[in-house]
Amino acid sequence: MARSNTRNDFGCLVVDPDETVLDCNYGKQRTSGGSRSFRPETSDNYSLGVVLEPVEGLTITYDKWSIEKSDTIGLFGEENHIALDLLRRLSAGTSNCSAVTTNPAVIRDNDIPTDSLPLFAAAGLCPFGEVARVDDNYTNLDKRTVEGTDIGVFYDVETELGEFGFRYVGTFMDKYDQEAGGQAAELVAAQASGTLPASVPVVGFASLIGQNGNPERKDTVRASWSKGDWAVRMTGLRYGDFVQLLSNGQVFPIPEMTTFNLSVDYNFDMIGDIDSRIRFGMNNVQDERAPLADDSFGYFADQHRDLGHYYYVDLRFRLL
Amino acid sequence: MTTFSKRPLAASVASAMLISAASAPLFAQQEIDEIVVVGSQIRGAQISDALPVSIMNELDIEALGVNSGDELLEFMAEQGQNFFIESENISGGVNPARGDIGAFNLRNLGTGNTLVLLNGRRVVNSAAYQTESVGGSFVPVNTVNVQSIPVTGLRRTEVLREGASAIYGADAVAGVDSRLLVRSIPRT
Repeated sequence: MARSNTRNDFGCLVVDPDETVLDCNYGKQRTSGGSRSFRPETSDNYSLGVVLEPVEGLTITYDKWSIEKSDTIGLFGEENHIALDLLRRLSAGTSNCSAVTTNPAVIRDNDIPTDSLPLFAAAGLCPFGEVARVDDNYTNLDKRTVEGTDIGVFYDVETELGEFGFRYVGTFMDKYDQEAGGQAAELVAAQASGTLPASVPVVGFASLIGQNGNPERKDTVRASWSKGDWAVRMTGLRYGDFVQLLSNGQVFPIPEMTTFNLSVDYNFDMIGDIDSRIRFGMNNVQDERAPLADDSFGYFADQHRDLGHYYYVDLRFRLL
Repeated sequence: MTTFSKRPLAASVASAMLISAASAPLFAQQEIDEIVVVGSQIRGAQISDALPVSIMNELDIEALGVNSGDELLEFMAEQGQNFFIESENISGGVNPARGDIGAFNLRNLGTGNTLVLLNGRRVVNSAAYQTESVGGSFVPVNTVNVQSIPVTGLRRTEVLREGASAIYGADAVAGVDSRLLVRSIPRT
């Protein structure tokens, strides 16, 4: 599949950072397709848990779990390919410009403006033209490790005051790591050692927990009471806090968000013996709005929902 | 007493429909080399059993007061971000506003890592937008559309909270979301 995207040419930006002679942000064709060197993705997981039933009606569950997925198939990305190309050219130096080892996935043309030649020499690079095409084929890449704890508390009891039910399920994430694999590992290492200029972005690796819609915890709760024809139910949902990493390098905190839904049911027989129920409900009782984030609609839409407070009346009956 | 000998699996499935428990053995003894189990149902699972499952029954689902599959999914603690489309402001819009599609993403491990079963069978995948950044570029992924399973009429939803790809294959790395519909309407 081929498509054209405008991308930064990091090699060009090293030669001419202020783009006085060269234009370093231009359209490049990207082709992507399969590969003969694919290995299957692999995953290892374990979970270990206990279930306690200390008294009648009460169940407590505690589970530790871990999922490790490696050789995840993905695209290395055009900018990463270009960064790798730069890395290869930097290590080749200027000693033999007729045989420079480059990243074969990055195909450059030979059109080099003569007034840019001194800039190439100053940067210690053999002259190169613009990127015509990047062959960005699917390949085995990163390793993701996710670990966490699940806690559940379930309690049901029947008393003279009616039936009470309580459920709590919470997930606590302890670890969310994305480790660079293959050529990405080479880039991460080169940037860490200073071989690759710090201005070349190599992001999305290391620990991603608590960042960009990846909160450390999520809690759900349900409580109910019923007696005779009446029932009251409450449910709650809480997303933990996390931070959003902005493109300018700032870390923007996004607080936790909790919403509650409430409903009251009355069951009755309509017109003789038609089994009927009327419900009055309120969703998002406290009118909680999604916390502010730097995103299209001002909130983190992949995680939060911005539906305000609303009421509804629901009538249900069974005819058969 | 009836005894069943080892027979080829296909033959036994066909014959099981024909013979009753009282009938005599009909087939000669034959060894089975290998049986490959490609999936097993977790139906009827209990929270107190060996498998770590989260269960919502009809009453629990009703208590939520939600109408869309998207909202129901949000109430599962194991669900991560509901990735469907990143271009919120151009053609996509946000999930609650658009309401047509939502993506399963247990453990936030990425769309396409959660297996979805309806009455014990795999549900057809929809093409999701390129939302998964693996490596340095976005990769197209598949997910079951959570909105294709109605909330009304759900008898139970079960989330198998551990990777089950050894049983189900590569799409169950993050776990399994199994949904069961009300099988019959009570008639009097």
